[in-house]
Amino acid sequence: MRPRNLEPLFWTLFGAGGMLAALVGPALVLILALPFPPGALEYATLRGAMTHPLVALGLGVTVGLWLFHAAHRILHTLYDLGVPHAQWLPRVCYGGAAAGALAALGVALAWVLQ
Amino acid sequence: MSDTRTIVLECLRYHPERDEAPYHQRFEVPFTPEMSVLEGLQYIKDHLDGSLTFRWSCRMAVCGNCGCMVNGEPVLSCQVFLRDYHPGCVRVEPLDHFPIQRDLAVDPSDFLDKLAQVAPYLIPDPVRTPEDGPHRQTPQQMQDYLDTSACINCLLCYAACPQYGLKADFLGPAALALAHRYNADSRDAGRARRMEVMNSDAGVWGCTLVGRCSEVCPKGVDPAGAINRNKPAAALDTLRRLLQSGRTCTS
Amino acid sequence: MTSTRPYIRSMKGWWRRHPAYRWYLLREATSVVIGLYALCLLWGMTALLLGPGAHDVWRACVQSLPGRVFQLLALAAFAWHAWTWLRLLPLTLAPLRLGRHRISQTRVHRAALGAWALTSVALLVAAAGGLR
Repeated sequence: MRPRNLEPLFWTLFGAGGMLAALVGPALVLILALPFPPGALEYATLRGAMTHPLVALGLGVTVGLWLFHAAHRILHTLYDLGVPHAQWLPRVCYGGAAAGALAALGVALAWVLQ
Repeated sequence: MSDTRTIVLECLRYHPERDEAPYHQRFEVPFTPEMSVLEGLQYIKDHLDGSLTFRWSCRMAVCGNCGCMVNGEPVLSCQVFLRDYHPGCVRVEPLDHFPIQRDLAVDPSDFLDKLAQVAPYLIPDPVRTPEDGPHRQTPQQMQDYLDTSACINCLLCYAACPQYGLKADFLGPAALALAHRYNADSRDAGRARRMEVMNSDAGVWGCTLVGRCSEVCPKGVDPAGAINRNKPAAALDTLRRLLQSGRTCTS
Repeated sequence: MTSTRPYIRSMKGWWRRHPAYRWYLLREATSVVIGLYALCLLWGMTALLLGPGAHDVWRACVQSLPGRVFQLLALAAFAWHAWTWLRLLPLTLAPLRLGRHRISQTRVHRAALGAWALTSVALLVAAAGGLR
């Protein structure tokens, strides 16, 4: 039997991204914004952190899931605001998120492999 | 009587044979502290304008007939009191998101059609007859669905749900909560059949968790929770279908 | 006698009808900021990979005045997202049981807030240790 549509899969990605955004989002923004500790944004410091595969992969997955989270909510909010349901709209939203997520995973893998 | 005061009821009026569009009409209603908004409407019908149309039956928040918008909130008009709005005025309108039939009466047929779609009754497997005796369950099994079974189909949750107003297909809070009520019942085996409608854009995926349905429910049902608890199950159902279709394609 | 011409009301500007709808739209709007912030991080990790020159451009943008304003907005958006997300989390989980008793939604909400606090502290400690 064919699935009725892909909405449940996008919802799962949306939920995973939302959960990650809630748990690690505020702290991560705080660390980069302050920056904390001072000097955290220095080239050598950040490079040192990113050479740890868990940091690189974690960041890649986080960025990808946040993009899917945003795409899903933006799409549904546009519908809420009265934008008509057109076929190209979900394609742009989820297609954009998928492209961004692939790029994030690619960069993360490049960090791991180098 | 000394505790009789006067309050203004502003009712939406619409008589399709006479009016192009709805308008509001003001009525000055004398009221005593124990009078509900419904009793205010009944005062208008008895003493001021006999043509005012509205539905009601039990006067005690059991039948679910007298739902309407009071100052923009969906309420049972028998359950809110004129004294709480005094000295302001009370604006009474038909439930949002439903077609207005006449004055405060809406046409609920869309809900009734959708309710039938979720098969809101026990589907036992194997089929049972009265000879099989009572279909027993433990108190704990009953707890699993008891809160959702309190629904009285009053439609306040539909008037509180913008997704129902925006999407013509969306089954809406009460119908989906009732589907959950039967799915959660240990005596029922209709989950797979209901999944057809629940796992669709008209089903649980039409909900964006605005959450107002649960806030306005006069019976403490939590439709928002009932719907969203079914999303993970529906997502798993889709995954299962994807895997199955992959298997049939390769074989 | 049936009504031959039911009146159908428009949904135009539906969010003006109740404050709860505007709070809902504010919650949904956090996703725009979260999406932009994710792109900013993607740019940052790519620039870091490319070398010190690209990283300097990224850091200058992040630490410029508009960049700082954006990060402040991001902090507010993430915080509001986290608060509303964890509040609604119990609605999405199947009722959890401990023996005979169902764990109440309030308990689940509190546990989620606890997990949020714990993760945040853990991240800050890790940053304090790892980003020197």
